[in-house]
Amino acid sequence: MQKFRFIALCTGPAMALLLLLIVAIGWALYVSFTDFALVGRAARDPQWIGLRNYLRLFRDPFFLHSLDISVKFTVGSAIIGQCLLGLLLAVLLKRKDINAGIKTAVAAAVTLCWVIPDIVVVYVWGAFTAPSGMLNTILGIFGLPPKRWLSEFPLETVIIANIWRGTAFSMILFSSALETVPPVYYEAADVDGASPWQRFRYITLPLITPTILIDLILITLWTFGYFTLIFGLTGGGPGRATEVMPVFIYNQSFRFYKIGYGAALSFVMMLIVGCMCLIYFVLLRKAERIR
Amino acid sequence: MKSWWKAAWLVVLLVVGCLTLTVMPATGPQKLSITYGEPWKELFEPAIADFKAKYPDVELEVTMVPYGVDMVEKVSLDLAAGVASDIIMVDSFMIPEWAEAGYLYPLDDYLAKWPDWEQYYPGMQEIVAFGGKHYGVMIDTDVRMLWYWKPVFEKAGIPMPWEPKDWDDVINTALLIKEKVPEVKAPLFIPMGTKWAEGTTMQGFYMVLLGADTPENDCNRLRDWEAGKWIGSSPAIWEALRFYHDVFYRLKLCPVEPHYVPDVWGEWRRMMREGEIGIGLGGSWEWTEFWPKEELPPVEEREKLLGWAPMPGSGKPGAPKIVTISGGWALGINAAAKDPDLAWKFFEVLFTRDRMGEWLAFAGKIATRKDVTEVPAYAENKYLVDVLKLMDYTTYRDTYPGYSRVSFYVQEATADVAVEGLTPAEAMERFKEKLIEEFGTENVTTCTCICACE
Repeated sequence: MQKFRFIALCTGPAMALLLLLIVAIGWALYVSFTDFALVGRAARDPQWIGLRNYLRLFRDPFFLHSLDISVKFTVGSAIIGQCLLGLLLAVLLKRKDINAGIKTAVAAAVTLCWVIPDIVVVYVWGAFTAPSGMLNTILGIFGLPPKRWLSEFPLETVIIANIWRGTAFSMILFSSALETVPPVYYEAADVDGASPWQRFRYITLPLITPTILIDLILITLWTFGYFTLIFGLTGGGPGRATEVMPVFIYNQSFRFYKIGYGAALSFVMMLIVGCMCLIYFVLLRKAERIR
Repeated sequence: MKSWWKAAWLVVLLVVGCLTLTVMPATGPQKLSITYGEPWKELFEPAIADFKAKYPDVELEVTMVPYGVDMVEKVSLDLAAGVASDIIMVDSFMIPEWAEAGYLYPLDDYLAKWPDWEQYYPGMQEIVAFGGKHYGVMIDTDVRMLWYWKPVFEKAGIPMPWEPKDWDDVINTALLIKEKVPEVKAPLFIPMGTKWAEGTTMQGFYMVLLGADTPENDCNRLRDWEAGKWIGSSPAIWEALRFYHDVFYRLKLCPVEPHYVPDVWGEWRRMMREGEIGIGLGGSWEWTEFWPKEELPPVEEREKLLGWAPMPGSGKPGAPKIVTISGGWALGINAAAKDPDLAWKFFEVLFTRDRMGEWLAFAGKIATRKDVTEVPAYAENKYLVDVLKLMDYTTYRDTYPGYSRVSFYVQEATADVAVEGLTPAEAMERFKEKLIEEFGTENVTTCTCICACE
C-alpha cells in the first residue's frame, strides 16, 4: 500500500497535466469541426461544419505554400544544418590534438547560443542583419557591398539563425554518443592503418546511427513547430516568404480570428510531423537491428 | 479498502469546497478592471487617480498595453477567453464584430441620462452603433494626410507650402526628391503589408482608394452598401493597387524592409525624424508622435521640420480633390462585467469636456465632441484648428462584420503588388477570390471596369 501511495503521489501531478492536455486537445479537435471564431457571429454561435475546414485547407494555396516553406526551413536548418554541424563539432571536440582551452571555449560559446531566450535571439539577429548592422559592417571591411538580408534573403537568413541557435543540442547529444564507442575499435583500426575518414565512416557512423536518428526526430519536431524566431525576425514576410506553418496558423487563428480553421491546421500539421517521425522510427528499427 | 474510502472522501470534499467558493457571491470591496493602451496613458492615469479619489472603496485593476503590442488582437483574444477587463478600449472598426459576438454591453440606458452625449458629433455617435444600439463612447478621432520633412524639401528645392493637386504631383515630387536628395531612403513612404495591420488599410490603401476613381455608385470603397455586398474588383481598387505597384515596385520610391521590422511604427517615426523619408502618408496623431515624448521639440521648432498637405485624389475627371478617412478609439464596457453601473461611473469621470479638451490638445488628436472647442488649450492649438478643416472631407471605414478579414486581404494585396511584383489586375483577381472564398459569391460584387484593367 505504501508503495502504491508513493507512486500515486509522484505521478499525480503528471496525471493532472496529462488530463489537462487531453482536455485541451479534445477541445481543439471539436473546434476544428466548427466555424468557431474569436469575433463576430461565430464567436457567440459557432456552427458544426464537419470536415469543411479540412477540405478547405487542402485547397488553400497559402497552406501548401507554408508547408513548402516549413519543409525547406526544417531540412535546411535542422536536418542538414544542426545535425551535420553538431556532428562535426562533437567529433572535433573529441580530438586530443586540439588545445583544451579552445575546446572549452567553443563548447561554451555554442551552448550559450542555445540557452539564451528566443526573443533575445530575435533581437540579436535582427540587429546583426539590419541594413546598418554588424554583418554589413564586416562585409564593408572586405570591400563587399551591404545587402538587405531580411528582405532579399529572408529564408536563408532565418535558416542560418536557427542553425546558430540550435546546434548545441545535437553537439551535446553526439558528444555523449561518441563516448560510448569502445576505443578498442579505434585501436584495431589504427593497427590496420585506417585513415581518419575511414575510421569515421566504418566505425563511428554505424555505431552512432541510432543517436543520429533520435536527434533527427527531436530536432525535426522542434524545428517544424518553431514559432518565435521567425515571427519575431520577419513576421512571416516579406510577403509570405518565410511563412512557416506555425506562423501561418497563428495568422489564421489570431489575426483572422478563425480559431476553427487554425485548429484544423494544427491537427494536419501534427499528422505531417507524425509521418516524418514514423519514417525515422522505421529507419531506427533497421539501424538497431544492424547493431 | 479503508484508505481507498478516505482518499475518495478527500477528493469529494475538495471538489465540493472548490465549487462552493466559486459559486459564493463576491463579498468584500467592489472591483473594477480597466485596460488601456500606452498612447492614451496621459489621459487615463489622471482619470484613474480622480476615480480613486472619488470612489476610494473600489479596488481598481489597471492594465496598460505598451506600444508595439496589437491591442485589438490582444483584447479580442481576451474577450474570447472571457478574461478581458470590465472597461476596454475598442478600435472603432471592431465595434460591429465585437457587438455581434456579444462582447460589448449596450450603453443606451446610460447615454439617455448623460447630458454630455448630445455634444458628440452625429458621425461619432453612428460609428459606435450596431443593430440600433450604442456600444461605446468615442475618445478621439483622427484624419490622415501627407506629411513631409521640410529640410529634405529645402534640399530638393521644392517650394513650400507643398500643395499637390493629384497623384502625379505626389509621385513627381517624390521622384524629384529621389534624384536631388539621394540619402533619403524613402522619398514616398506609404504603409504596406500585414504588419501594420489596420495601418496599411487606413493610412495606405483607403487614402488612395477614396480618390481613385469617379465616385458614382460610390465604388471608391470596399463595400457596396446599397447592394449589401463586398466589392471584389473595381476600377478604383485597380487604380489603388497600381499606385502601390508604381511606388514600391516600378519606381522604387519606398523600400520594403521597414514594413517587416518588429516595430513598424517605431521604425517609420525614426526614419521620418532622421530625414530618411521625404513624404509619408500618416495619421494626424503623428504631429506629436514622430518623436518619443522626451525628445518632442516645441511647436515652433516642429513647424520648421514637419509640414503636411491633404492627400489629393488621382486627378481623374470627377475624382475627389481631397481625401481623408477617420477612425478613432472608443471606450466600451465588457458584456461580462459584473457591475456595469460601476464601470459607467468611470466613464462619467473620464469623459468631461475639460479633461478631454486638454488631453486632445496635448496629444494632437481631434475632438469627437463639439464643446471641446471651448476649452482654451484646444482652441489655441494651431495645428488642431488647421487639421479640423480636413474633417469636412472625411469618411469612415466600411465596418460591417467581416471587415477585419477584408482589411487583411487588402493588406495582403498591397504586399502582392509591392513585394511580389504582381500586376494590379492579378492582385485584384486574387483579392476577389479570397473574398468569394470567405463570404460566398452571393456576397461579393464587382463594379464594372471602365479602365484599362490589363
